[in-house]
Amino acid sequence: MSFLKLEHVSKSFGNFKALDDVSFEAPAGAFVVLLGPSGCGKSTLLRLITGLTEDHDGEIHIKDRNVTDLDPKDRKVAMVFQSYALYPHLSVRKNISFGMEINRMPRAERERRVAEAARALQLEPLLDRVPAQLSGGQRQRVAIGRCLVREPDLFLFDEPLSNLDAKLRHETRVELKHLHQRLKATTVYVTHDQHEAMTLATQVVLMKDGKIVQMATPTELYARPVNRFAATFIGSPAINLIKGELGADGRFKGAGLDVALPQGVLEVAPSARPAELGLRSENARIARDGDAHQTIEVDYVEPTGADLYVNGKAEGQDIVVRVENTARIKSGDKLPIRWQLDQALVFDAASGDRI
Amino acid sequence: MSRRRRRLTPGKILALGFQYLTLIVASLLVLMPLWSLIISSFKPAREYLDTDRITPPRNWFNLSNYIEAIWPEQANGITIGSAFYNTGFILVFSLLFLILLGSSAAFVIDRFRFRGRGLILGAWAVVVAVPGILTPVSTFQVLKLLGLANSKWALIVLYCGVDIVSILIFVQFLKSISTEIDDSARIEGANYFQIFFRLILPMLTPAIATVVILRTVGIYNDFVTPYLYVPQQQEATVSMMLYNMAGFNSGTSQAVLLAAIVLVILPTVIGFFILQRYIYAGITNGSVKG
Repeated sequence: MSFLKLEHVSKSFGNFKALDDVSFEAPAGAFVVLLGPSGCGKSTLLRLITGLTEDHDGEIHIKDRNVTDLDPKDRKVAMVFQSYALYPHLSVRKNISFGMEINRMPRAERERRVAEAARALQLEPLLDRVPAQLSGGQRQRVAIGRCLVREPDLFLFDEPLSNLDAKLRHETRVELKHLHQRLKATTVYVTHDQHEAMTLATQVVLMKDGKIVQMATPTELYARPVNRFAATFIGSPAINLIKGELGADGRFKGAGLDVALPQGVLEVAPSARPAELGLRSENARIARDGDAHQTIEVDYVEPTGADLYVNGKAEGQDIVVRVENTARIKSGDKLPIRWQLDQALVFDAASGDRI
Repeated sequence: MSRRRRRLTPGKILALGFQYLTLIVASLLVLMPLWSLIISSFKPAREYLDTDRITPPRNWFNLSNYIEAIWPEQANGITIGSAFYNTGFILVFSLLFLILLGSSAAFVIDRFRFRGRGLILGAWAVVVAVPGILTPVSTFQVLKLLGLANSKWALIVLYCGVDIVSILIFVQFLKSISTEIDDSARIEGANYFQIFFRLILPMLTPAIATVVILRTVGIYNDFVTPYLYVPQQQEATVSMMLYNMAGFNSGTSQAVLLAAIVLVILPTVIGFFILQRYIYAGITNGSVKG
């Protein structure tokens, strides 16, 4: 049974179509990440779910309720904003209980909920401070606390980590994951950061130009992207795309590569056409005993500690492979490599779709 | 470690000397009239006429002029106490309405997109561009129509109604408050009035301080507006009272007038020393954001 359901949702601002026929469903307890480059409509979609942006086509259902025409306050959603939107003149306690005060909840119940949220988020020593006296991570926890006390059906996050520095971002990501595992609250989370999407999501909705490109689990999205955009958006360094020709016999030729594609790589029967072979940098190793598929000329090497990223060229096409840090490779070397071809992805050169 | 001293060359001494000289001259220019005013206010009428304007009084404790200024022997026009009351009344209500109307107008202009918004902004620009001093006849007719001519309320209406600059200060400040605050409150169930009064208005405190300081100075010192629209004696503000005292047939002696002037300046000076910090901040706020 689906908990959150969007049906044919479209939204235009003047002539600009921000969202174009978006539909998806998520079960209770899901952590849905709306992922995409800026301007893809993911934030607009989130605002439509909150009801802050109105006048759209299609329907939105939360927990079997059609909320399409409801005001934000009646949708039982809670949102953590990018800026956290804490009220700077109010103490942490007042920040958390503001909504309950507005809704005239009895004092005893208010205090009980604030105490509960403060305990869950380790905010107890901070309750009497004002937001200016808190660190970025603490502010974020207050913003989450403000959501918790409302006991909403749906949690919404709008790029909540983008204001934090790299270390804190990682810590907060872990914290969010713990929190979700503990509360099992259904969550919709907007980000343009693939790491956040991969680590947090149970379900990723990849968007581009107001449309859903692919909806899948993080693993599936990584292993089986539907097209070139999805393949390049996920993964770091970006997937290698080798331009060449696919033959009717199922062989791929290009950039010095001439290989037969293993069973299962192609979704459809091979037909001759220009194609691109997608190979991730970790699906390669240095060839031994002359089993090389390809030889690349090394441009430069990036050591990351455990691994080496070797950036090179094969017949003018850029290629990055990840090898173990024990290998001694320097600029100008000719490096024979062998690909794990069963992991390969093949895209139609014209449409970009995976074939 | 010995600290190295910078050597004073003749050139540097000359430059420093010049700096001090200009500062001293500038200070004297400002302080001399004040000095003259204060010392003269202590001189009895006879001594005032016989001595020059910079010699200190023989008796620093002669308060007869002040007593005469506060409690005149024969009631002639308005007392200084009533004038202070009038000015205070006008100040309090002008500022109150100005803050409420100005900040809520700014809230609507900044946060809502509605038909006619551009028109209102354009009208404001026009009002700012036309000096109020050019329109006294029509302003007076409007006040008369409202039945406010010759009443303190005329001044209150004028001070808070025509003050676009204050509204613009509020608008500028509002732009720095993220609309995510509004969104967040809306999701939590707050209506626009609750958002405004419980969140936005308290967050506008620095802007309110700026407006209060700038407007208090402006209103307190204003002479032209009451002179034009509220000539009636009983409604006189402090500036009008001084004007009446200085008048030909007021019968007030010069020395008493000077004492009254000192009394009128006093609140400003005290206020300045207490609020110095905020005033500097307020003026820069106003200049950067307004």
